[in-house]
Order: sequence, then C-alpha cells, then structure tokens
Amino acid sequence: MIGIDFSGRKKLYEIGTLREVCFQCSVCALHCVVQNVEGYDIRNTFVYDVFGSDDPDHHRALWTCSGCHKCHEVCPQDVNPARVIDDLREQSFKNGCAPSYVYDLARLVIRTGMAFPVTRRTLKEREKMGLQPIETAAAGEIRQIAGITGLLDKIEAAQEKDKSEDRGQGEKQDD
Amino acid sequence: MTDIKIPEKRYAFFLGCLIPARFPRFEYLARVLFPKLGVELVDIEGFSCCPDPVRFKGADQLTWIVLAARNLALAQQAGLPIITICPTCAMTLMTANHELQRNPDLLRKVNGVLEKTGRHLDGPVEVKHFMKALYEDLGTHRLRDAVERPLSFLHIAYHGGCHENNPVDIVQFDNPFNPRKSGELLEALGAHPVDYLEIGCCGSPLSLDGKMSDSHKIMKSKTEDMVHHGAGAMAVGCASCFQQFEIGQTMAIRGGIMGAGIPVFHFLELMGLAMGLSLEETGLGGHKIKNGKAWEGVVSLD
Repeated sequence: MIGIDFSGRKKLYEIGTLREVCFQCSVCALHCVVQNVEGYDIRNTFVYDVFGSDDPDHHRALWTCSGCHKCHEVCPQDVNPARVIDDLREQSFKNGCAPSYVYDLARLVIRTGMAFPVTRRTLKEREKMGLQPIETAAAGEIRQIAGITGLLDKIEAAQEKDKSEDRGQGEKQDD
Repeated sequence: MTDIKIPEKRYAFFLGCLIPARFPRFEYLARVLFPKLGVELVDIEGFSCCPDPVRFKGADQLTWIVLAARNLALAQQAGLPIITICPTCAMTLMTANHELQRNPDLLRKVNGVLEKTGRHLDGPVEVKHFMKALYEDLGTHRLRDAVERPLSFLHIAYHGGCHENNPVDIVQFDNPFNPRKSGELLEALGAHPVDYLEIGCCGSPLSLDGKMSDSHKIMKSKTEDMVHHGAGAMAVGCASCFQQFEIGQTMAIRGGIMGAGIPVFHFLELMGLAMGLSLEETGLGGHKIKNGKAWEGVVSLD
C-alpha cells in the first residue's frame, strides 16, 4: 500500500492544479521517461512520488520531466501531471530551490534572447555555409518584459538566497 | 537538381535556438530545400527563443507565455503563418495560441505586458513544425516528385520525440502512440520505415539533469528495439533528439554500455540526400556513428 504525505498534497491543492480524481492506476508510468530513473517501479511511480512529496520544491526528479505530456494523454481520469509539474517547478524556482542550470537558462534568455550560448565555432561554421550571424536584437525587449512579469526579481531573490546560504555555510565552517 | 520554384506557400521562418546555435547545418538544409518545394521561408527580425516549454516554462509561466505571444505577434504583423524546424518550438507557440484563445483574461494580461514594449497580439497565428507542414501543406506527393535519388537502401526507424505529436489536442498532427505520417514522409523519400515498439522520449532530459547512466539505458533499449525490428538506421525530426542519439550513443559506446550503435539522421539530411545534394553539402561527413549497410548505402550515393 502506498501512503501519501498530506503536507505535500496540501501544497498542491494550494497551487490549485492537483485533481482529487487520481486513483493511482499507474498508467501514466508506461510512457514516462523519468520513470526510468533509479528507484521508481510500477507501484511507486514518478507521478505519485511528486504528488505525494512532502517537499516538492526539492524533489530529486522534479526538473527531469521532458514535458512530453504522454501521462496526460493516457490518463483515464484526465489528470494532467505535466501541468502539476509546471506549477510545482514554478514554486520551486520562486523559492530559490530549482537547480542552478534553470536560473542560468533564464538569465541567458534574458541576456541574449536565446536558450543556447553561441560559440565562436558555430559562428565560423555559419559563415562558411553563408548563413547570417545570429542576431540578439530582441534581448533589450525581453529584459523589459522579464522586469514587468517579475522574473528578474525572482532570479535576484534566488541569487540573494544562495549568497546568504553560502555565508551561513562559511560561518558554520568558521565555528 | 530540382529547380527553385515560384513560391506557392510563404511562412515566417522560426529557427529557435538549438539549431542555429549548435546545428546550423539543419538551418542551411531547410533554407536550400524548401524553396525547391515551392516554399518561401521569410526571416522575421526580432524572433527570440520560443521559449523552452520545459525548463523556462517551469521557471515562470507568465514570462513564458508573454515571450511566446511576442513571437506570434511578430509573425502576425508580417501576415504570415509560422514554420519551425524544431517541434518543441512549434509546441510552445501552439500551446500559447491555445491557452490565449480559450482564456481571454490571460490574453488581456499578456497584451498588457506586450503593449508596454509596443506590441500587440490579436488572436491566434497558424503554427506548424516542418514535418506537419510537409505533410499537410505540401503533401507527400510533392516531396516524392522532388526526389532525385530514392533512399531505397534505407530500412529506417523514425523517432518522433516528445513534442512532434504531443499534446495531441494542441499539436493535432499524428497519433503519438502509433504514428504513421512520419513513415509516409520517409516513404516519399524512397526509404522503408520500420515499425518498432518503443515510442517514448529519447532520454535527453535525463542527460541535461546529469543522470547520464539512466539516459544511456533508455537510448540503448530504444536503439536495440529498432535493430530488432529490422532497422539499420534511425531518423529524427528534433535536433535535441539528434544530439542525444548522435553524441549520447558515442559516449555510451566509449563507456562500454552500448555496442556499435546505429547511424542517426535528421529528416532534413535525408531530404537533402534524396533531393540530390552531395554528402558534403548535407553535412554527413561530420557524423560520428557511421556503420552498417545504411551508412554504406549513403556513402555510395556520391
């Protein structure tokens, strides 16, 4: 029998996307790539593990999901786990608990308008093929948008949290 | 070589990030091949990252949909439907269309932000990834007519990736659990599509999250299944899947997790080969997994 930790479940209700109707049939696990991460089996699926987590902000595989939505397609109860995961990720990001590569990605998109860094090698390759250099004209506008939506503040708050945690660690070591 | 035709269809050409930054060859191929099929790809100044519907969306959903709406607004201003060469970009833009259409309050909120930057989105914009555009707007017959060298030596498994068909009600292309249209497009190039059982993700999100051995396990079981069903090579329509299979297989082989691996081709590379481009122009020289009859067949084309 699988137990559910209700404190985590309460958090999900607060966000508002968890549907009561999930009856743990495990069908979502059939096509789930995260399911292959060590430790999950058909009676303890990734989706239950997230739904029942007492600390979803730090869940070990929260950011591994590829968002393929197959869990949603096959769900007989029309629960949308991908949507729940999006909402939980947003909370985890806001609380400064997302992996550092996610903050780096957000910063990169704001700074350059692109989600991948452009290397000198790529630029050379592009030139050889007669392709235009990559323009980053949108970056100023994206920064403005991220300021209005509050994303910049979230990134800054996470950075501050990181710094104060580092200081805390340092003080502990000094003791 | 097929002559460039008078364009019958015009699209705003959405490149995304991964292809121009890591795989510019696929961009090059699209720019060379689509005009031969009567398609004009129009560059739109100011397109940005779609943005990524997995990690960036998880970071902040409002910024995600505003940036997607900004890209849609740019195409709308140009009066053109969007074609992407990345299925994931198409999924982001289609999802944004869908959400904004069914939620007028959200559209107002998004426009409230956009208007501060001098932009506005007025209703949905047609968006298709290149496989959907090839199938629905051009048709397999158009592709078949443009083939100069049928790839009849290729018994090939197609890996659709996460977002070519999902979410079904938004992307509206093919059945993700039993896709047929990608196979028909491969047949149009003269190749023989091979059915296989595995339909899930390539494992690239596991690699990105640092879970390399799990990622390699997924890739191994997938490619073994393809070989078991008679495939000598595999094709993908997603550059991220290409990266996972091409670089991931190389790493897994080096680490002793996999045997020889199988050659992986992007659909645009196969189009290039079939439509008469040289191996060099198609960029196949740079591939890492070069083995078996499939690769011998490809090399013998030049």
